[in-house]
Amino acid sequence: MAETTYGLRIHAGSRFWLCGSRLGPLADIMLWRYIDWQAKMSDRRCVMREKVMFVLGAALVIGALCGCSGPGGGNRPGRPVTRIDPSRPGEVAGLGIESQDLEEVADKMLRSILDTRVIAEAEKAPTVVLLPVENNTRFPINKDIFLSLIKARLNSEAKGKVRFLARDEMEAVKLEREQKRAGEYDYDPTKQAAKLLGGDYFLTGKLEGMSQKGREGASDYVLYTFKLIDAETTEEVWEDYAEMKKEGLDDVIYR
Amino acid sequence: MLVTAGCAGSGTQRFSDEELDALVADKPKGLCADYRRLYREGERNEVLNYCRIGAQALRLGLYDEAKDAFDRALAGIEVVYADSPQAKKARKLWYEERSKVFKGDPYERAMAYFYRGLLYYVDGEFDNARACFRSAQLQDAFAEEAQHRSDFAVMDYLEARCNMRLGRADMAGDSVDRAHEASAGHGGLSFPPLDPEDNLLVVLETGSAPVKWGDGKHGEYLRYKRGPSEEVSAKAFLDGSPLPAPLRSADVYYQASTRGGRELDYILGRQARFKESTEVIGEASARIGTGLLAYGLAETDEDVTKAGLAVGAVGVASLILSSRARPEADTRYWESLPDSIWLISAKVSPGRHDIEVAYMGSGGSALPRPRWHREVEVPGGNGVEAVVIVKR
Repeated sequence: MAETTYGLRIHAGSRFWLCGSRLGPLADIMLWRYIDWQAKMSDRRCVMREKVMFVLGAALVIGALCGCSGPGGGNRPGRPVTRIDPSRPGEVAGLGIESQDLEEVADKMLRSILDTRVIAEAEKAPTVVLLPVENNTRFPINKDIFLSLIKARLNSEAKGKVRFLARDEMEAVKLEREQKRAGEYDYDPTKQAAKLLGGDYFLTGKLEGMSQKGREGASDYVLYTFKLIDAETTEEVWEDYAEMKKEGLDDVIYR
Repeated sequence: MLVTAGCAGSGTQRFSDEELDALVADKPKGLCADYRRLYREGERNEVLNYCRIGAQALRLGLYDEAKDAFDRALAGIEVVYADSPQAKKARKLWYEERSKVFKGDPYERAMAYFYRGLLYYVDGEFDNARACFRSAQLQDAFAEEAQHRSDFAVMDYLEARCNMRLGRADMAGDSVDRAHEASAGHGGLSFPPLDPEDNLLVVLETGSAPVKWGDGKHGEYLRYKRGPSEEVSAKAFLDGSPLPAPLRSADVYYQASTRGGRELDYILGRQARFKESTEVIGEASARIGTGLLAYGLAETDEDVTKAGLAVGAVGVASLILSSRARPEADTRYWESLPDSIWLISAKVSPGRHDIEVAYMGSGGSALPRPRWHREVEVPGGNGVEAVVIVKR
């Protein structure tokens, strides 16, 4: 508590608010100085209180007249661009599949796939072809992103234990080969391959989801499964999964 | 000083006209007005404005712009607002509902997913399309009465169609059963049979969006009414020959109006009662204060004059409090939605075709307006279809 010169007791940090908006430190200082000055004019506490009342009343009237009746939620001030670690949740969160989920799932799959016997014990690094991921959740996603992330991390961290075949670039590869063989491009003939490389394994995945929504909140469970399939025998030589469940409830203004 | 301090930050326009011109310079001409509105109205209406842009882009056949706009709208819709400053404000008496960031009512959120799902479907990304239709259906799970929860049956039907295209006949059967079950209570809704050999899907719209309005003395109760419209149905033609009659598969107004009460209605109702009581107290106090003041001045009675001033001040303060209460319900709505959605599924000869759509009035005759027209390439391979979205 603090006390003004003439005994008006206020909280030390008292602030003035108007129309739900903070008036600001300058307004606080000026108002309290005025109140204090008014108090100096008379040592009768009741008169001072009346004056305080009038000051506050006047402030409210001015505030009401100054046109603050529009929607208060206009444009909020901007926020400078900040770099966010994709493996951590951002400030804006939903129940959907987000970057930190991708990172977590990719990390788990990477460690698991490198431990599998057909890769860890292979004498020659097997070749792998990526097949599209099937999305059976309620979240539309960029389906290539999981496999792209797993592939990129395997390529960078597996130190050559796995080789990927760029089947999505097949047209460009075929055209390049044709033009090299036709003599349009110079190339090293010792590197010529009679045939394109076949895949030893397919790597694919599936996202399954279960969603619930009601007045008590929303909940989304997503099961991520990935597997390596032997391209000769159809044998599933490796499979692993990751699961995530998120729950949330919008505040009352959105229910 | 107070004027400056009290009014800071209430504006909504961040950009000058010149800046807005620069911001929309690279946008397609037909979308410039909507983009200007987006930048002018800022975050509060961002989801709504992206929905408007998406709908307008669909109308103009600008599918890439529509995808981008709906992706942005859905990103906003999916954000969970809990413990946000706005949510805290909402519990205060001075909260004004229309100041919140717009996420739309369940039917509006569902329709944003619906359009995005159609765009995935057009691209042949049936699993992502299915994801959107599922999310659309889930938006409708908040209805107060159980029989109206998740009853946006067209979403189940379209999910079934996606399952069919994905070769999941078992799941397609389940989804279409759900669609028929969910539509059972709505008069006159039906769906084309699922036939993998069909290679043309036409999605038509008629009528205008449900209109939100505020009922009650202060507009504190959110209500919906059917949007005005001339057209009651439509007919589609392929190279001048009629296609099968469209089936009315969704009633958007029904979805809006069967939501039931909101928890926020109680808060707004409390605000309305506060507004009324402070208004009564304020008026009475102001009158009494004025009377005392007049008497005190006339009789040169200092005590009565002071009492009059004090009571008058209380009255003024009470009236100010009353005027500051804002119990009005938020009636912002997505105007470019239709009243009804119609579907046509057909097997036609592969190749390039002209599609025309004529809108029919209440008497069954065609309305005097140019037919909607577009060329479409119908594929021949089994399991592939052309999708025509006729956005109203």
